[in-house]
Amino acid sequence: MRTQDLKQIIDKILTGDASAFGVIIKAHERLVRHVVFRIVNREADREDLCQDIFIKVYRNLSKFQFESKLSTWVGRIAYNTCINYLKKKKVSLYDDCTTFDQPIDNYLSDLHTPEQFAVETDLYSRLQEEIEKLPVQYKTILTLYHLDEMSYAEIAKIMDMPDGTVKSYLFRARKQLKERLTAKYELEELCF
Amino acid sequence: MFLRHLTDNEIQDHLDGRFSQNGRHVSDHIESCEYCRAQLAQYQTLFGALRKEIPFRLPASFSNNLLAKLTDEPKASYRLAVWAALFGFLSLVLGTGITLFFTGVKPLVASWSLIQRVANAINLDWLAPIDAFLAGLNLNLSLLGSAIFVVALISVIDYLLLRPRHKIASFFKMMIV
Repeated sequence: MRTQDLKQIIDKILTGDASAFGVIIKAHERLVRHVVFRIVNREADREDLCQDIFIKVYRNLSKFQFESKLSTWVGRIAYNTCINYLKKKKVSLYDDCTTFDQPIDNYLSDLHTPEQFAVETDLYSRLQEEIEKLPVQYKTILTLYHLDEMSYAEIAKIMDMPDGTVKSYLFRARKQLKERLTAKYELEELCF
Repeated sequence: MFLRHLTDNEIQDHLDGRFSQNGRHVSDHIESCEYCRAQLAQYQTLFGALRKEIPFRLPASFSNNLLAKLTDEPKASYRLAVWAALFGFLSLVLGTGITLFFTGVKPLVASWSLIQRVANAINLDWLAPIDAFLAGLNLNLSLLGSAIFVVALISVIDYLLLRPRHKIASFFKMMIV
């Protein structure tokens, strides 16, 4: 969406035309959905959180100064809303992601039995399971980078961390995922 | 060309399309090294999977429901303003009544005389009609002024320090519903 068009839409919304907000919802629904899904495990709360995020976007639209892309600004609201939700629910955020890097050997001791593995036929589901186990920051970065195709700088703005940290977390997350999946399954099985 | 295996970071950078100055060497090495090709293949598979859409959809009515809610919001905030004004007025009357009940009107007379003296000293002629009007009412408004001041002060403190806006809004919305 061009900046000029976006300004016109925002002006419309700010002058009381709430229906114009539909364009903003449509343009950012995917991003919000991704962030919420990746951070919030409780299915029942996800839709409500998406709604809360868009209501916050609507109420704070007058504060958007076009200093960044609207998607970055929306993403930041979505991320902060989800983090606040986790804090309320007292879910650990793994703030220090380095503590999460446990050796694969230790990790393998927690694995299911081979029979259970045989039941798990959907490799994509296995990947989702592994992603679930990652710290919130890793999961969010993976999603924003691969699904929403955001740059390090955009992700850094959303998550309020340096660009270098984003890159470092992204690389570590992918390395861990690869190691865990290859430790559990044969390489040829990993054809998603 | 590298005489060692590529690091995970080099392989990931290669797949991200972020070629360093060694980009050509990385490509050459991958072509000739079976181990690194296998590593690359694993990462390629992983990257492909990470780009797959997530299994979470919002209902088709999500946007319309949200817009309906947002369209109703100004009405709710108008109702909220009416309730706030009503409560403000009631607390003003109540505060003044309680103050008058406990202090009587004599301090008001004294205070108003003081205001008059100050006004005369700085020659505020425009206060004369008000003075005449108040004299006709036979009321002492100093106390009323004090009460208004106290209520206003409490309101300001309440607004700035004690009352999170969203909570009071929720409270009023709950009352309206």
